[in-house]
Amino acid sequence: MLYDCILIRYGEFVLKGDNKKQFTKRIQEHIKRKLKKYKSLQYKSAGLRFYILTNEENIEEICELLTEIPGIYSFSLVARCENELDQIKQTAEHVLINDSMNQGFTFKVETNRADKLFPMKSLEVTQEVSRHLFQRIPGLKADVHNPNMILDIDIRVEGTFIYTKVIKGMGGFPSGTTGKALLMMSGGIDSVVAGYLSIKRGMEVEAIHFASYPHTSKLSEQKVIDLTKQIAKYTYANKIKLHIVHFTPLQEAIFRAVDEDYIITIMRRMMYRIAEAYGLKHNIRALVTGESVGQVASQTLESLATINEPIKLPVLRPLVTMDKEDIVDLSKEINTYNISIRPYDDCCTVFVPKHPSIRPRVKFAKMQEYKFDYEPLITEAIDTIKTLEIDSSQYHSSLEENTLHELFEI
Amino acid sequence: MIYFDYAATTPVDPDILKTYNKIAKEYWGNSSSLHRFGLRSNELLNHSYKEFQECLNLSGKRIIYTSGSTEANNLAIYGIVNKYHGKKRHIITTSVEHPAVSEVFRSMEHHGVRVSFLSVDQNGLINLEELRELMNKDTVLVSVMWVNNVIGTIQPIKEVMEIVKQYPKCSLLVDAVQGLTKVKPDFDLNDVDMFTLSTHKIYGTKGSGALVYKTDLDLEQHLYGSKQQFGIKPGTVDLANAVATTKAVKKYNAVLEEHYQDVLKKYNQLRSGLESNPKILINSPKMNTSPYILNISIPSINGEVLVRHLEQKDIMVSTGAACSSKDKRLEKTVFATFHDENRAMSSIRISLSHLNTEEEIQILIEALQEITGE
Repeated sequence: MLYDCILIRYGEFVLKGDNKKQFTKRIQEHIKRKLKKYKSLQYKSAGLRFYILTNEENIEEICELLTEIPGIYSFSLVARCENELDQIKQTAEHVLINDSMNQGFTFKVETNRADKLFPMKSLEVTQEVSRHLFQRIPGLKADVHNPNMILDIDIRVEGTFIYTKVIKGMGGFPSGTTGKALLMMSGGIDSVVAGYLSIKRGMEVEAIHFASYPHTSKLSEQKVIDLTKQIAKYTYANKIKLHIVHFTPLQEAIFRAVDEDYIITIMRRMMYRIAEAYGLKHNIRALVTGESVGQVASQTLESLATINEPIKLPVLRPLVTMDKEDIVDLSKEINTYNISIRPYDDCCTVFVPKHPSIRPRVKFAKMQEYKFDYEPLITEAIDTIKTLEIDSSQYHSSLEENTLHELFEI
Repeated sequence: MIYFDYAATTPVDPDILKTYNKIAKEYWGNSSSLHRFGLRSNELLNHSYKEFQECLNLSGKRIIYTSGSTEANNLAIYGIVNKYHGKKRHIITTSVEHPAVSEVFRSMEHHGVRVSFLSVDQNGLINLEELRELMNKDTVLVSVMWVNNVIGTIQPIKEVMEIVKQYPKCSLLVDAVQGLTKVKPDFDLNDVDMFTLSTHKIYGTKGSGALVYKTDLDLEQHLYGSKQQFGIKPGTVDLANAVATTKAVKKYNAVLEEHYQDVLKKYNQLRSGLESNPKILINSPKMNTSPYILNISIPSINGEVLVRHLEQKDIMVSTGAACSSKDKRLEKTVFATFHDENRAMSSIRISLSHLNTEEEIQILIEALQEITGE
């Protein structure tokens, strides 16, 4: 097999002086954990690079898994040889033939000599190898400015690494290195994308969902479970805690007491209160929402200010300036789109007032809240939170696992 | 009883029956109901779709659980042809299809759809050149049976796919009833636009089958009612049969190779035993054929009579396909292959299973020797 090694490059965290060590350790652990089932892999760390020797394991599957690890900037499939010019020429030739594109593609060789004991200079190696390739492969074209392919030769003390392809990783920070956040998850397209971006940024994420059963179906709860599962695979633990709030009593009280145009505003203020209260008890440093300015009536700047007013925890809104189209694209990329569009109501879509206030004000919101005694309802909602551990590899269902096993196993 | 009619139907596997029973007893909620008892059934149905795709390495497919392959084929054919209502429509199929396909086309011919029937050679194989010539811009459907149900010929599906692919408007339907879980495809099943199967041919329950098609095909509905199963097969889902179908496919696909090798051994034993009998003509080809089916003729004896001769010896075989054996017509596949009326009239189909033993094969060989007086 030509490629028997994967070279991993870290993301921007390598710039972070003091914490670098801790970040590096974490990402290496994450990689090993993620690839646990491939028993014969070997790992090598060399400064800011990390190598996986693949030893005949399924390299395509491994690459797929590597794109699910936050903090990896990019990686390459690498062919290795000894630090010896003839071998380098040979291997370069094989790599180029293996990866060659359509006829007439252009290439250039780039050499990096980290092993200063190697007797030739980088430029000399580049020239020698290029000359060899031109001799061996007819019709080859060089282009030093704008090549279709760059053949990298990396001469290091531990050997020479040759590759052409650079596969983009998730980027961001190693999982769980930047603090814990609570994601407010509706089941729509946006919030789960916000969750994904937070995980990518290295946050440890827990999710909170407001369920309005029996006004909404259990299927909308299942939808949130399925969405959570979809982003759980990017986390270090491979799972996310999902807190389901029984929001119905509070929601019904709001509908009874509050003027129609303020229903959404008050509802969201209550959700923020519940999320913050839960978060403060559980070491949560910030809330995350899928809000984006101007998307719906409750997401004007005035509205955001009013619903944000009752709480002190910072609210992170990763999508705040993103266009809907870009959010949809991202949700398709992470395979949440098709789950999000399942046609079940969530707590924000049942009893939607015809004319919600577009510019609600704090003063009026507070007046609405004087109209009913919501505090015991908030306490009750927090006390009855149901927490599920959503494991990305597990099947989450109302059906018992042994039933499924009995029915389908052969 | 010695049973050699496994291409007509198979006994139900106790394991599959157990699955069927469990669902019939415990999951009888209507999968369209909104309460949790119904939702549970719906979830089981979704899980069944998922398991089905996984066990056959499929992706991007819709699975429609049907009452069998006849219904599945009807839904597939009408689903495509109705999409082009009011336009010129041309269909290509073979002259050796099962009636579940060919009769649908015959009915369509009365409604202005042009149908071309590909001829077959002495091995029952279609001619790819003929297919290439017949394809045109109005061709909306090509329908080719993967493994022939009468003589066992395996059609070159991979090559057919290549040809059909060049006509983006045209879809391919593969009748996989005698192939799925029995013969390893040399094509990627996932690339086939539509295929159909029958559950009771693979040790499942009667009255069930499936149509599998690429989600982006957007079939036109043919049956009208509520919106179950994507509107393609409306009506309350028969969950027990649906799951039994998935289970049968999963279970028997997993042992395909093992059973194939086993049956091949018995097939070779049977074939060489009969080849040495000068009164017997072998109608099944030597190459590109399924070891599960061996078709023979004893020209001096009518096929039906031969079936009864063997029945007297407690051996069950069939003339042609069981579905059409009560028609007094010629066996059409054998006739299309050999253009010999007598050979077609006298043909019988012996179809095997991993359940058959070498002793049973020996008994059959001897019984035929006795009948032919050899």
